[in-house]
Amino acid sequence: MNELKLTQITKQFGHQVILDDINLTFKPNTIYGLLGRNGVGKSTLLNIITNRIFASSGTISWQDQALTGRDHPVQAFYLMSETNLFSKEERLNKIIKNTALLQGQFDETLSAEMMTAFGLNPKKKLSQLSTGYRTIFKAMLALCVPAEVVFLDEPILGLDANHREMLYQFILKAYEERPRTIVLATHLIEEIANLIEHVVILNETQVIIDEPLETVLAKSYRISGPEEVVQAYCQELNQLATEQLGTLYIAYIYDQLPTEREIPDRLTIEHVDLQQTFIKLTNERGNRDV
Amino acid sequence: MFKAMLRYRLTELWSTVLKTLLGVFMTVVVAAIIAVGVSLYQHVDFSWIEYVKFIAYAMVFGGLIASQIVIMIAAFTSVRPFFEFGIQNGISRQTSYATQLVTLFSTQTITFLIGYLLAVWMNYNASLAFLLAPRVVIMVILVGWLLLASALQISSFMTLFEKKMWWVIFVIYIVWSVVYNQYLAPILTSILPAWAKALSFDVVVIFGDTQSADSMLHVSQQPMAWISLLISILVPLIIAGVCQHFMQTRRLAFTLRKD
Repeated sequence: MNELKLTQITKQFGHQVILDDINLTFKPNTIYGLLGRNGVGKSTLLNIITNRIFASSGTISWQDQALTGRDHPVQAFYLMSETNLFSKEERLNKIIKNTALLQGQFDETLSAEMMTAFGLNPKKKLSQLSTGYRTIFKAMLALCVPAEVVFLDEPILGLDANHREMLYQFILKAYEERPRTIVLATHLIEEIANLIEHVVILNETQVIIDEPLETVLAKSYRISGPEEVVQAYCQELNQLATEQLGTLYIAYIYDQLPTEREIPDRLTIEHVDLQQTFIKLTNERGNRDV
Repeated sequence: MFKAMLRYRLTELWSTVLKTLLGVFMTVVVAAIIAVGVSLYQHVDFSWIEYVKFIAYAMVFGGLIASQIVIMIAAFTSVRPFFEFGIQNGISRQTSYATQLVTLFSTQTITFLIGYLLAVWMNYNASLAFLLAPRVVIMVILVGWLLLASALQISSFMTLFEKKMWWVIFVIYIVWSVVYNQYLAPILTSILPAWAKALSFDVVVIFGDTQSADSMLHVSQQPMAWISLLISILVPLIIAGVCQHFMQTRRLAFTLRKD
């Protein structure tokens, strides 16, 4: 199986623990959303998987084989990140040519289509591009390489709404033409909610959610009504947060609602979207034992 | 993966070397045309054969020196960009370093050997015959490798640390070298046991006492000279390899700033 499996990955910088006992499996041909607040370790995790930095401990397995040693070859994975690893003084067409050389294959058709659609001039140097266009160029490379797992770390950095929409379309197009695992790490949760199939949420060094989007949405509820009624109904349920708006008491739940429990008339139960769930899950006062 | 990375590095380095050679040749040709023009204008007697010979010498020597300088500069400047582009494309650190060594050393050897042999051949006379002795040729190449290895060691060491810190590291490196050579090396030599001193290899004494031709041949016949040379090449390469193994694409948190 072309699964990418992380087992007990830990990363420490000095005494500071960034990632603690991360266990994850990225399944083939699935679009993942890797979500987490600033500084939670998303980029560190992606950098470890793609061999840019080393884990303090733990194992990474690909196709049921542990990638041995600290320095493993990882051409099956490609990380597009905010950090620029290209020579800024090189022209775009030269970077494309060299990427194709090192990767062995390159989707030239998609590359040309994206360059035209976004108005990127291949003769320009990377240093001549704005932040947004650099992001587009790097995302374009990531979608055109033959990697089986593509990590897009902040792929919409500096992009305006139009370009973001175009990029999402190209991500879907690339996926439809050649299914692969795509991991999107971004803060714009609302926008990617329609793209992703599986959600991974990192919070305070650990993975707190690793479930299909459908399951996450199915378990995310906002229950409102008089305080005593809400509290009575939500007993033993996993409450992420509560709010008091005048006489209205609101509880955010991340759990399966008990089918046998009768729903009082004065209670309103509704699903909340991914962004709301994420905010409540990762709020400092939120429940960490999901 | 190895082949692709090697091809990428070789293409980049050889294109730079060839562009430099082209620049040198063009400069020589332009200078020659100007010189001929001036000679004709001033009605100076000159021999066309001598002019052509002089142009050929200038091209060979200029090409040899320029190509070696370019390769030496590449040893300093090619660590980070190639390393980072390799990592971006899933190339391991070992592969990246191995291809860097093959690229630099093979290019240096080929360009040096061609330039060196051409230069000796063009100036050939009996007194220079020792320069074509295989042992001497190999030793001269190894001296070039020694310089290249040192360049790789310095550049890898500096790249390992924060980019903004390179000048601090460089100053520390120079200060350390001076302190070591001026103060520590004499102390270490003085406390060496007698048998170690007997094995030591003193180039200054050898070159000071005899003619250069004889001394070069003499040096190339000493096993200690070869051992010293090979160790001097290997040690910097090992240090460079260790530096590159620990090189992170995110800069190491080594700064002088206090949080």
